[in-house]
Amino acid sequence: MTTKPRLRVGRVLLPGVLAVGLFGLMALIVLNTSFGGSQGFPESIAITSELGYAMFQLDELQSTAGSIPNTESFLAAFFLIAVVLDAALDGAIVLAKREEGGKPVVALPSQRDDAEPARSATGRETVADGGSDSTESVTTTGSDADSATDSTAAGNGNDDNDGDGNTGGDA
Amino acid sequence: MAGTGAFGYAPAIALFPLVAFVVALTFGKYMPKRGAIAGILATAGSFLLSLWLLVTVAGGEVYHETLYEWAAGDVLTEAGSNGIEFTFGLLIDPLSALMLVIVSLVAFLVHVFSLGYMNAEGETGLPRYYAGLGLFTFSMLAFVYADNLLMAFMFFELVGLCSYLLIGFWFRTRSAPSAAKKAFLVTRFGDYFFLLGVVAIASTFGTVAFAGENSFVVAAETAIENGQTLFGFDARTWVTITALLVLGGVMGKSAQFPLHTWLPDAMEGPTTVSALIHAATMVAAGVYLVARMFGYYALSPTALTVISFVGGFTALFAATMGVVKDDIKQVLAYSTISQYGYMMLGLGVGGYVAGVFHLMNHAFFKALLFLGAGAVIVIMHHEQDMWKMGGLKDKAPITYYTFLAGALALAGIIPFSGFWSKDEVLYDALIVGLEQPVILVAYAMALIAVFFTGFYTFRMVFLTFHGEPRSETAEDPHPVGWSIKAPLIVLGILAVVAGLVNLAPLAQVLGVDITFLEHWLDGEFGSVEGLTYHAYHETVAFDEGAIGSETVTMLLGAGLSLGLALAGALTAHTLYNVPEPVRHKERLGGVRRTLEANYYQDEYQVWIAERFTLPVARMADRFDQSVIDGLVNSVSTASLFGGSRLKRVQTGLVTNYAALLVAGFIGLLLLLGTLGGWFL
Amino acid sequence: MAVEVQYYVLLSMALFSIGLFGILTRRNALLFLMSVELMLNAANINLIAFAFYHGNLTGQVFALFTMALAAAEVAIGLGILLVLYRNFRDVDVTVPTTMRW
Repeated sequence: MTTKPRLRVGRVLLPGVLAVGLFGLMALIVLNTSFGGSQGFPESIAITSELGYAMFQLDELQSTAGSIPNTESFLAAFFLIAVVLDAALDGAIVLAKREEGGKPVVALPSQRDDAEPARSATGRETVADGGSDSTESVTTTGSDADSATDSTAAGNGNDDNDGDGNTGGDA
Repeated sequence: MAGTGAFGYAPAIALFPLVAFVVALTFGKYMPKRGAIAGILATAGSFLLSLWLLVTVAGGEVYHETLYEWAAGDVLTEAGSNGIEFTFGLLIDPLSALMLVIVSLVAFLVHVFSLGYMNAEGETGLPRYYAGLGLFTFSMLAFVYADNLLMAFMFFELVGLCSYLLIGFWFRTRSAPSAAKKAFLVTRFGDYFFLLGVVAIASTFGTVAFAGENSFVVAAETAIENGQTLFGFDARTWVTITALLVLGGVMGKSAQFPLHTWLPDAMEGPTTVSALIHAATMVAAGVYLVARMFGYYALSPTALTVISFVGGFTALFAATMGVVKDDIKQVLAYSTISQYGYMMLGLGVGGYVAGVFHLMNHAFFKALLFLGAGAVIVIMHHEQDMWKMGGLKDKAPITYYTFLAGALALAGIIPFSGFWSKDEVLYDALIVGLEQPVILVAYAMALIAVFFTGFYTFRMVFLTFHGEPRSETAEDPHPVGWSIKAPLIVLGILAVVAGLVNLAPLAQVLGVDITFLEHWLDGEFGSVEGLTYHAYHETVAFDEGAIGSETVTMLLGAGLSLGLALAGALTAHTLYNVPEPVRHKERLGGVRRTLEANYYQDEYQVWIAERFTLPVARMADRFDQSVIDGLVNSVSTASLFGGSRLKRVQTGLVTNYAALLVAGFIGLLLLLGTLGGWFL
Repeated sequence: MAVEVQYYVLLSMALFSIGLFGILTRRNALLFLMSVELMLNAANINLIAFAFYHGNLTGQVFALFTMALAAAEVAIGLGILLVLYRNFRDVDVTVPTTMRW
């Protein structure tokens, strides 16, 4: 169990030497390189607005006089990034979602609305799959809870021995 | 592509039997005669078309056409030609037209005969039998009019396969499959050299065509004229080498010494199959191939001498073995080997016409003899031992007289067909032999073989048909039907009259022009350029001598061979044409044992196989198992071991991967920086 | 007076190396994410510095995009982290090594 970040010394730091070495090497190279002066941006132009124009392809609005040359428009890229973000969000949800017994675990289940229809529709299969029905067994009546725990104990869906309990629950 | 008139239908000659093969194989079980009808119709169709072709060729037309090209390439060959093509094509000239007729006729008669021999005897597996016959006929016909060496080779192989299938027809017995395998392996041994020869010819001359401007014959001729050096050899030497390689296949198929051992064993097949093999298809294929590419052999006197010597030796060698056999089919088998020896001798001394003439006559009388033997076997309730026969002359007159006609032809008694052709072979050998001692020896051997031929032939006839019946079945013969008699009669007539097509001795004496076959093969009715007797005769470099004049030589030779044949026949008559013949061969002593063991040919071949081939194969196997496999296995072991070590790099820890990445990056930077001078 | 561009580059490299150091020495996946964030931002500094150096706005726009991508990366990364925790009851990156071979 990793808890509080703590700098451990000793052999774990050995790979860190690589990072430091890389920095030293790159710094050496950079300091040995003469870049010359920067071109800079014209004084008269608001860079932020120019960025916006470029990003949304508002070519007409871009300033012309003494403007920054060669700014392409990035509408397509912007759109693609939007899609990627969206996909990442969906992916995060999919990854974070917890399923138990083929049903997503709801963080704050509304007991009265959810439980009954879900039970009548999928209750039997859920039990038959062998997953544990812990959330439902809390919400339902005694006989159902009984059946659910029994099935769990019986293992993979072999709930014939407790058939009457289940039928009662379905009815 | 297709020719006009009869030639447009030429492919059908071979395709009919192929269709019969498919039909017999697929529907044979449900057909009334188990596929026989399909085979008979197909071969009859082929025969009629062949006749039509023969008439067309006689009208002065020939046909040489490439039908299908399946591979072509650019290559600079040794003889300096560019490119090579592999094609299927037809070459219909007087020789192949004649052969087509012979093959399809014999195949047709064999099919008809099979009705009586196989169907009436209640054999099982008949669809397989007729399918085999169909395929056999197909391959042989296609081989006959192949226009290039490679196509010929393919069908040559197919013929070998069919013989394997048919010899092993009674595969439930012990001997038949073994005989089939033997036939297959021995001929395959020869075919191996044939294949080498095909490859050598193709790579030397860049063509495998038999005829025309682009044939390898013409190319070889040019190479010899220009004095080229081919593969480090003088052109003529190289031609000799390739010709002898091809001859390997011929010797295997045509059962020439020392590859003849399969043929007597092949008697395990049905007698009809033997008739087909011996008369028209398998064995004939070898000699036909020599005739087909005779222009090539004609370029090499050495190859010709080898052919004639092998032929002469085989003729005598096989004839002596035939003398002591008791099985009627065995006698015929050895006579076949001997007769093909004559053909080889005839071709080898440049007697192209004589060789082909004998091939044709032999096809007729050997088919007749085998079918006659088949009839005898039916009559005798499948008894083949001649000592159990006797006295069949009166019980089965048609069989007897036709068989007798075949026997007279085989023995070479005037005026039956065999006499004319054998005499011509011997005459050609004699006139060359007077100048060439080696060929004179071959001639002498063939001449002595004439005596033995006459002897064993009539020994067979007398033992089978004359004297008193020597067993119960011989006294109470089984009746034979029309399907057996009709082919015998047809072939019997042919055996008598076939000699009329080339009465060379009479032409010489009387001065009349009756050598029709010579004119036919000489292209007087039309021929493909370069494939004529005259062209061959000019190429063959043998000098010809004569005793006194040509006519005297001819008469002397003919008289000698006829006298010897008659002497053989008379000896047989004295010894065996008695009511109760005895086994005179007992008196031969040690010679008999040698002869009955076939000169221990099988023994030494088995010895070679066991003492030489088997250890070599075992050594090769050991080499393969240890060195080759060891190498492969060690490669796999090494990579497995290396992999199992190398996979330890994959620790599954992200940190390690990142560290490796960074280390690599540092290394790269250092390298590039040092090379690029970034640190200065 | 503008700062010389190489100092920007030095800063960015320092930042990158710090992030790298974190990745190489830490075992906590959460700290991994943070270190990656540092490295991404090192790239951003470079982009902006060179945009100024060349007098071209493209680099700045790309810095914005990088931020957006960093957000996406963090979203996915946190999701993975959750799954990691759920499966191993730990966010130590040295624990889930079962997928190597």
